[in-house]
Amino acid sequence: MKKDARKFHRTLWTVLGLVLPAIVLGALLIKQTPPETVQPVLLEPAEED
Amino acid sequence: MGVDYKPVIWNRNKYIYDAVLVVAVAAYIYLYIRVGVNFQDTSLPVERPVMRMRAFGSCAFLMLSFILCIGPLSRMNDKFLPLLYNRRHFGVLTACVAAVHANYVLGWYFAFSPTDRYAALFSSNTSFGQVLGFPFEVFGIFAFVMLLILAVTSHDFWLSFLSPPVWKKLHMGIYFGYAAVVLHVALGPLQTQRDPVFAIVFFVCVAAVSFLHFWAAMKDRKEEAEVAKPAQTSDDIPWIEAGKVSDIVDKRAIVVSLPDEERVAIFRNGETLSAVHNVCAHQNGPLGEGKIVAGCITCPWHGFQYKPEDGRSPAPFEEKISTYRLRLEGETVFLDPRPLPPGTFVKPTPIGDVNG
Repeated sequence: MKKDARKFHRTLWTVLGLVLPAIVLGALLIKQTPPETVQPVLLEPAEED
Repeated sequence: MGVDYKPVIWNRNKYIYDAVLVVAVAAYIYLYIRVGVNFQDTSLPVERPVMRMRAFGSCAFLMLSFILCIGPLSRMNDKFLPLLYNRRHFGVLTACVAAVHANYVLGWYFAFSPTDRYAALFSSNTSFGQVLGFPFEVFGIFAFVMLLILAVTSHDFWLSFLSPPVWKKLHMGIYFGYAAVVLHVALGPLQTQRDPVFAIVFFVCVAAVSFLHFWAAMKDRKEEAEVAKPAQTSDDIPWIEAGKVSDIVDKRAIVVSLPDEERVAIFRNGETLSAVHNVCAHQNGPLGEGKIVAGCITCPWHGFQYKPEDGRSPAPFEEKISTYRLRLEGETVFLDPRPLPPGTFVKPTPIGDVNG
């Protein structure tokens, strides 16, 4: 590669090489816990006066 | 290198390469849809179009990760070079697989939208201010557009039309495309998929691509720090000490970093030495990592060839690169760091009986 492309490539991957795994780890940390299956609850009809 | 325009200059290796790719992709899609369904969460039955969407999406991600590993792997070991040879076809196929994934997404999630499905794709989720529920689709769209641009401009016509440096810069966009894919998956399917295998495979792929490129960047930094030293000489030529003859394996090269950060490849061809610019005129490939085949320096990336003595491609091809002058003192090789105009003949330096 030409020197400017080579420099750009290595600078970019010095950053991306650290940032990309960090993004994935961060995403795993904030991963949503899937909602538990909730048993349906029958609602009592409101009492009429 | 071609003198006539041809859509693809096919040869036996390209047929084999492409056949293996297509069969591997077809096998992956088939297995994912047929066998993968057994590993799905049975409490939530998965529709067939969703399975296809996941199959093509995961396939495109794996292909792109693998493509990005080929470059640094080839620097680690010559055995990976055949994978690099036809990497553009690999990339085009990846864009096609990603297009099928995008088509399933549009057809499943946006087909019954009250607005145009393309408009709905951009407007259905605008929660840009939150991490959970972030419209991860935008990253997928960006990556897909990038893949399409690169696939369309992958032909040598665009390489010569745009010039190799501009083409190379454009195609470095794939790194931003990959970063967008990682965000697309991390904020999208990774948040909703329960399957731990999915998370593990995703992390391993990203870690492999990141590590290999990070390693290559560090190696490059180290090589550049090892700048050749100026030599004490009586003439006006600013000779620099390039290395020892015994360091150069026959038909191979050593690469010398010059003070101006350019690199020169010094090849040994039997009992002579020749020096050329380390950058191939085709796609800026590292010539010094190639070897001499049939008397010509052969680029490890796509096989472009140059005669060691004048840096010109053999007729009828017209590419040419800069050459450099060499001098031998005992076993030490000295290089004149001033490049000669591309294609300039320099008489190869005989090794004589220095190295037997």
